[in-house]
Amino acid sequence: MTAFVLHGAGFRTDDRILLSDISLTVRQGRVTGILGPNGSGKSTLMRLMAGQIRPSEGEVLFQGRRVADHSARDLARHLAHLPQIPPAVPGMGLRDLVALGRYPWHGALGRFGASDHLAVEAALTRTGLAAFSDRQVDLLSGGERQRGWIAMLLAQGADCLLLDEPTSALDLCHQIEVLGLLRRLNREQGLTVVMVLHDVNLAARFCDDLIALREGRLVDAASADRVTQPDRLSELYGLDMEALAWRGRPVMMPSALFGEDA
Amino acid sequence: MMGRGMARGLLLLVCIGLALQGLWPAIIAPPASDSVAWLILTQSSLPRLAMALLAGFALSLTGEVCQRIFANPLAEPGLLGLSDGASLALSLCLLVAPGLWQAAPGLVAMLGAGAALILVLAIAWGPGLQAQSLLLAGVMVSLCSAAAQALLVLFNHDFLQALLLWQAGSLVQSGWGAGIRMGLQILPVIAALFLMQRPLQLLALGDGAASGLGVDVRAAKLILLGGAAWVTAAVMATLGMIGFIGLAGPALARGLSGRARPGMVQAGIWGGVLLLFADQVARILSGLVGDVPVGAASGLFIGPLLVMLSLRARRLGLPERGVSVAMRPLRRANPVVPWALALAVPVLILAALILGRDEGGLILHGIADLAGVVHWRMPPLLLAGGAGACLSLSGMILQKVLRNPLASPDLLGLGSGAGLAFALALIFLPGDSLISRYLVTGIGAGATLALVAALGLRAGLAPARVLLIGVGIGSSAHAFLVLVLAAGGPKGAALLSWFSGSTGGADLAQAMLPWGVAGLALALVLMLHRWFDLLALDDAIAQGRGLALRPARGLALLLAALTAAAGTIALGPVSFIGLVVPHLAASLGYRATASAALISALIGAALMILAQSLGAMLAWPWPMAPGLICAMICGPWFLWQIRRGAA
Repeated sequence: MTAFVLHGAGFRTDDRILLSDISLTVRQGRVTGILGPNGSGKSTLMRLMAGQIRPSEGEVLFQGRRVADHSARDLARHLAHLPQIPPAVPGMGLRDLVALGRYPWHGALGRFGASDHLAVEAALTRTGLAAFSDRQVDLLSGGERQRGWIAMLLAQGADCLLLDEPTSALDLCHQIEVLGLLRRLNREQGLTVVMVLHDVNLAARFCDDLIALREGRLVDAASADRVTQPDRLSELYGLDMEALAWRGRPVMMPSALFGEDA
Repeated sequence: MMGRGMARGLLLLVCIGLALQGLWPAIIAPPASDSVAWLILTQSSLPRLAMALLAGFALSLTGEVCQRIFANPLAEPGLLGLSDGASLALSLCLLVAPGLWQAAPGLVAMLGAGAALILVLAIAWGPGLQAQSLLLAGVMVSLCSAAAQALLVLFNHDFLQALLLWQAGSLVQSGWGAGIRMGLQILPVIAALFLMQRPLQLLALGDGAASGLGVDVRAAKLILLGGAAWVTAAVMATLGMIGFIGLAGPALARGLSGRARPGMVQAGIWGGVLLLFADQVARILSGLVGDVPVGAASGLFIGPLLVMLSLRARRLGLPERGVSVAMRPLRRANPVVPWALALAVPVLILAALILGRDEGGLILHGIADLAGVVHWRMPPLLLAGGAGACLSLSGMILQKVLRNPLASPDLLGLGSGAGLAFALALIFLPGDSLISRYLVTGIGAGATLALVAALGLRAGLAPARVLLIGVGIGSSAHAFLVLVLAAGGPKGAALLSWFSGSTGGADLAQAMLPWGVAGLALALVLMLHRWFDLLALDDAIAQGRGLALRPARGLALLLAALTAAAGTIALGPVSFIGLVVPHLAASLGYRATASAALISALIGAALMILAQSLGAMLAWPWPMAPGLICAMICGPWFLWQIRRGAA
């Protein structure tokens, strides 16, 4: 089963080509990471997959149909997207935020019924936020707030999550916690997770497959083990990388860390 | 699409052409140095050109400074209460010490602007001199002084004309003296503003980042705002009110340079070009139809300009996300509040019916008088209440959907559109044919609404673009209105009373109309409250939850516009209620759309009923406009709220 299939997809603005000729497959029930240097088109790829922008060439299929052919609500029932920087939500309570995720189910007029309440509570529990549910979102710590947004995605009940740098604002401990949560959701509930990550070691640890982009072009789309080889990463980032072996797993490090001038 | 270079060149060419057209006779046949023509050339035409360039440069530059400090494209020194402060000071002076007005109107205007600025700074004074507190305080001070001035004018029609002329602004010069004086006043300050360019750039990163880079945020803001205020006040004192350049100059520079931050020099230069253009067109128009003041003329052009920019520019350099306001945010909603408010509406109506006033003072009406009292007092009371509910709802919807805490119904230009229609009808239709002001204002508001909606749809209904379109159309309509008022003579007074929000002459059926609209709108908002909650957050989030953005936003804006139209038709363009009441509801702890809508509508209705009944008694036997009373009561209270949030 495939979640996403891209055929020669590209996106350009009037004066710039952000993404071109991307053909790849994202498998259902897997955790797929998107790697690449800054400006390589990771967020653009995410937004194409989320249906926020339309490809200017080629096509993007989600569950066998073009993303644009799904109705907005139908798409949101199967696909939940979190942008890189979620907006500030002054004065909003956490439970209210999570409840917004139920919109694709009850719609504008439907009653907020028992199943909606259940989904919200389950999402809060699943993310370990049940105790905070009455707090204001903007008063939570960075890690709690990020988990709150993820709880909203969970309440949405989609089978595929798209997250743009879900760990970028978090400390190491919360990064591991959030990625571990996503990993568990994938393993236990079979959710498909696609996320942009910056840390190659976290990507290698928490992702099954990786997509590597550079300057708007696809460099690699393969299993995480194959993409996180030192020579391939060196090429991707234009930076010499070395692999250390530690407790049976490779750890990637820039060579510069060990050099004379470091 | 036209290239930027071409657009720039074309605009410059047109300006030079217009300027040359005025000077042409003198160029083809240079007049003798002692002739009248020579005198006109050197003492009127040339000074006027120089004045336009200088004033445009100064106003646009200060606008750019304010927009960067506040990170809000609608900011300009006028928003800090300067123009209305100056205007109030002039009215007071005209009333109390007409001699001073004769001797030094500029000084009075400067003093008024200074007092307004000091008040705003005192209210927003806090650790970082927070941008949002400053803006809100500025808008409130501005609205309050405008209300106070309107009250003065209502009771003293005689000096209306002189003031209206000042408000229309004029660049007509006689000699170089005024220009040189103004130049001496502002050029050193402008130089100082240029020296502050680096701290200003850092301030645009946000207070935290700026102070992290070693900027004393509060001091920098004080200096910048003080400088901008000085320059604006000096220009205003010399030329009268020339609005919109501070808003449109930087916007034009952004559009023509294609950069989000075009720089102070660019902003200044294009502001100068813009004012020159407006003034030359005003000069040519004046030759055809009688005196057209440049303040009004610039408003006329700036509307289309803003609309064009919002349709054409790829990047507006505007924040697409919401900005939050520093009021005390953390109060929990008290469950008693909705009940208390719901009870307050009938109680206030009852009190207003029973209590009365005659020559001797306050009286209580008995059962015997009741029929008469209800007949006379009920319609205006209901009208005011319903209009209050409508305008509050409209403001709440707009603030959510456009994600701007300063959004209010008059931002869509409906008030000015309705007012313009009313003014035209008053002046051009013979007295008897004016069937109903409701019909006329309804047509005006409806036409404006259709225009904003059509243009907004073309701009994809993006919040920042709709804001600019609304402001643009509003400013054009307002400029027309000022022209009509300045030309209108004695009929201006009737218009003025409508503008300050009056409720006279309604019958019971008419009075129920705004209630019906408010009720319908409230029902719709309650039903669709989830749309509004999602729209208020961010496009990506709303879209990711499966909300179809354009239909949702379109319907929300339509709803806001219809309620605003109903409120405006009933009451006149009272901007205060729509701006303030949603903030009041939020400060009581009601922020989610459903509860905020209900509470806003109730507060709006209760406030306007209270204001209407007070207005009937305060200056008995003369009724005072409830819109003004409302601004005078709530303004200080709201300012105090901002003060508490800022400290």
